[in-house]
Amino acid sequence: MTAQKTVKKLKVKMVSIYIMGKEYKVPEGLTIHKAMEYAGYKLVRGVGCRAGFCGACATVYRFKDDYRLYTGLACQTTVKDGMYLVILPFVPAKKPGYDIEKLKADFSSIVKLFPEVTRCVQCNTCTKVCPQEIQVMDAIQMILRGDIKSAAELSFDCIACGICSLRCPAEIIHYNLFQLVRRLNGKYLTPKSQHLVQRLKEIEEGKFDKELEKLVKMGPEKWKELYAQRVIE
Amino acid sequence: MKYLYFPGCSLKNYAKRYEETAVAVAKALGIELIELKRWNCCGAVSGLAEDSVFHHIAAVRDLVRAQEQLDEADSNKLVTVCSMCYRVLASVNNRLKHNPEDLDTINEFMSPEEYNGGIEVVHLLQIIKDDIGFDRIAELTKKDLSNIKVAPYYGCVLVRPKETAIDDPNEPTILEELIKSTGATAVENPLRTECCGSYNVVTNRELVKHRILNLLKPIMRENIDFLISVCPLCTFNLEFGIKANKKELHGREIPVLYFTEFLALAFGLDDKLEKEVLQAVNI
Repeated sequence: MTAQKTVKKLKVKMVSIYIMGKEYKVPEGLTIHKAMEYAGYKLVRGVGCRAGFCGACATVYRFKDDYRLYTGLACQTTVKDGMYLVILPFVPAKKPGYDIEKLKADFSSIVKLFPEVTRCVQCNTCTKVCPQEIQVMDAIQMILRGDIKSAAELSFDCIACGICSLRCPAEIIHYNLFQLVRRLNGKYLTPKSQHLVQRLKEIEEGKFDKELEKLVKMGPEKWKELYAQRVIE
Repeated sequence: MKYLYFPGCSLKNYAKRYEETAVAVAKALGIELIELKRWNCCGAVSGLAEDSVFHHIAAVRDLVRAQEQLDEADSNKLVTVCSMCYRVLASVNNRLKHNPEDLDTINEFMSPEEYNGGIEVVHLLQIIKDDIGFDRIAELTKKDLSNIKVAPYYGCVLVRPKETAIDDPNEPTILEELIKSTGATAVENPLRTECCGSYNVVTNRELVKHRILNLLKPIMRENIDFLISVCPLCTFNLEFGIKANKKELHGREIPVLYFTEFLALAFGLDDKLEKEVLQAVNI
């Protein structure tokens, strides 16, 4: 009796969702992940950081009488009444190996590893489905015109959930491609940090040797003390 | 005058010298070219396939991007420089303007993006002729080109088909007028609208080599200083064909200039021209 009363007091609105085709009544406002747990699922795959960063919980869903296929992350998307959904815990994709030292930051290096990039028909579906709201097709287009830097910048927020690659009619593996692009950008196109070179030189010249020696001699008790007293920024 | 401008992929890659001089020459003529903030490949050959509107999506999206940025320009004209980009965007635009059902079909697919049919696709040559006038070229020409003989080459897509042709498909004169307004001589080039061999250069270089030789034969008797082209692919094939036919052309390496490079040269904008081009024309 008491439990029922509590539920009444909260007045939680329940919605119907269909997880892999089976109907469940779940409280409104839950994320898809939480709703699945409420329905009794134990999440093993298709779940990760639960904070919208790891890309492990790509989800596709539809509503009755709506032809559109919607996409989102299960940890970030809240349930809505009449949602038919499935989490896609894994996206099969090729991942070519390469030695970044032997590549150049240009189109020909990229197209040798990912020749399918030239199959882009510019349907823009990738951009429409991206839960990170990345201009995915624009980034692919930047690659095709050899603008590696812009492609890296446009794709910077990619969390590799893989929805774009599942929807792409040209079967491009965007997220592995974008990772390569960002690596090339970081290695060859972004200015090197000069202070790092300077600091490495100082270390090699022995600038910190005395200080390090002093520390080594102190022993564990003194280290603990110093650690506790450290300045925290 | 401010115009929206669609560069296309070639002008960002191997035809950089075309874009560099197009923007500089336009500026000298009082035309500010505002590059679209977002644009994709025009669709090239596949954008011209007419069996399904789906092939036009790339081009339509570029028109949508122009539509989104229209408030920054003084006109609804979208300026192109590459003749293939011009042809694709203009053809697709024509089709959608004259076939509202096709426009609906494509808009339904592209939703939430939507094209309203309000953009006019033009080539930079049209802007120069219609909005600025060739007189202005004469005024801006700083070099004496009276001893210079050049042969214009149009290629196919700028003047064909007639629905999108920027000039008479059989007897175009726009390049000749442009050349004459600088004081240079435009040599009569009977094969100026013949195809350069186009994409065959990828798979059948012999064919293109042969074709370019045939194109050049009628003008070889004239002692031309250089050829003028409007298209990155034509230029690529011409340059390839001239090198490949070195023996047949008796060692003559005729330079091929984009019309914008020619104007940059006439206007004395030498700093916008590539060293190799400057050395080759030697004016």
